[in-house]
Amino acid sequence: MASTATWNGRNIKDADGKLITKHGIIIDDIDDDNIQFSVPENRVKAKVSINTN
Amino acid sequence: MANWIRALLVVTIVATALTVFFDYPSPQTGFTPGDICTPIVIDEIGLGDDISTEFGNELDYGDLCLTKESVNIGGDSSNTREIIFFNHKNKSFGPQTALTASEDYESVVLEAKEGSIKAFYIFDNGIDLTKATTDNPLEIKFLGQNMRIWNIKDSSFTAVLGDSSLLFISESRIIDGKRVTLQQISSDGKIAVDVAGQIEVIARGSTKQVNGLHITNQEAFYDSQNTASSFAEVSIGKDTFLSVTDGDYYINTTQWRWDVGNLASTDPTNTKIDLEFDGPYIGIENANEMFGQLFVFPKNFLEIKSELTKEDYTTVEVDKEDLNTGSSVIATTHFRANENELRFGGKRLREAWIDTSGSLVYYEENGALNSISYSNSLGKIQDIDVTISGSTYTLDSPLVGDDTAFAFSGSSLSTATWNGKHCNVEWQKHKRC
Repeated sequence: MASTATWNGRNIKDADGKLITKHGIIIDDIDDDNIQFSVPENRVKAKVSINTN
Repeated sequence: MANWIRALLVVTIVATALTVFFDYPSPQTGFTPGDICTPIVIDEIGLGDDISTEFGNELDYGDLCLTKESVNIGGDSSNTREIIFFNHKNKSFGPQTALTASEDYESVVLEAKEGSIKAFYIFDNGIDLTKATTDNPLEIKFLGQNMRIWNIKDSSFTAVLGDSSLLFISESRIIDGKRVTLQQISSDGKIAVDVAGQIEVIARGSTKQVNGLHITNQEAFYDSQNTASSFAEVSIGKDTFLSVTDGDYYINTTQWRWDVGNLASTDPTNTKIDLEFDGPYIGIENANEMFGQLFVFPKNFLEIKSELTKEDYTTVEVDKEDLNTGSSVIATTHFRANENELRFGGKRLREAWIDTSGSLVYYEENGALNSISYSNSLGKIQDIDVTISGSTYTLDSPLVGDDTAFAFSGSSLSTATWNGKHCNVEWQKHKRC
């Protein structure tokens, strides 16, 4: 079970995959005695489309 | 006879309109039927970056199917453009996460700060817009809708939205489920209109709300010889009459608001990234902070949506583990991946044990335990550098300012930080950092 953490003054109740770095590394879980993370093959980006209807 | 007169009148009006159109010197025409525009643009935006890093601050008809035309008022003319503007006054719009943003997002979302998404109608040549009247309005196409604008002050105007149509006496249109009938035209251009049983008289150039619909009498042609041949040019619709002041909410929404300014200026519009534009501009912007995967402009004029690029991930778990080497038991930091993507010490490993004396211990394919020495640079996971400094391990992204670090104290994870900011300084005591 993940620990409660606060980052930058905000209470992050658990990591649960929502701590995502700019590169796209996902902190899946932070526990009292381990850390789990996922590293993408390449930098993750958002593919954004702008569409005139 | 009546049909013959009708046909003649329509031809005459069209010919007159064409004559008027060509009488004005047009410095540059808008789109012609042969022009091709791009309906969609796509780019990849880094997490935490503003959308303008790839799309630029300003998009116009050269990038998307946006309006390019010219307008004429009282003999003056100007080339005009519709533009989409991002990151105005450093108000960011882009993909964010719980780490990169101030919000506790569950995943990657597009976050738009208030006023960060804007669309404008701008004027490339100086023109006195205050000359616009009901008889000679500023006529533009903005957000996919025709607008007839008059009563222009520096940051306000009056307008009618939508296309006009010709109605002969006794002729009807069904608008929003209501029958609208032109009943009479007076010699001075007033019209009597019946909207589903409610009758009102509207003077030439005026607008009235009749039974829920806005009716604008744009022009009325009275034929004294044959009143049946009289007809009017009217604009009919729901919410088609606008009295706009800068900062007002856009029609029927609190998500968007008008951003209007310098309309009394006769300078051409000069867009600026950090400041208000010079010269006149008519625009809208998002009125609130918004987040999600899809943003839609009013009237579905334009939509912006995002999805993440697909990547394969290597999952890694790190903890403290005592490793029995056969001859001794050593305290190590244990890395375990879901595949052979730990490229430590020149090897490609699924598991590695790091001791405190500079040795990296691993199993050979034949099951034999082996070790090699390591320096500060342990190796890579995918294209992320893994370094050691004292007891701290850092996942060093090639991006500046995107490093994740962690350290153990005894068997416990003591710190976890992103860009030097602690996630768990007092983790053990307070379950927070």
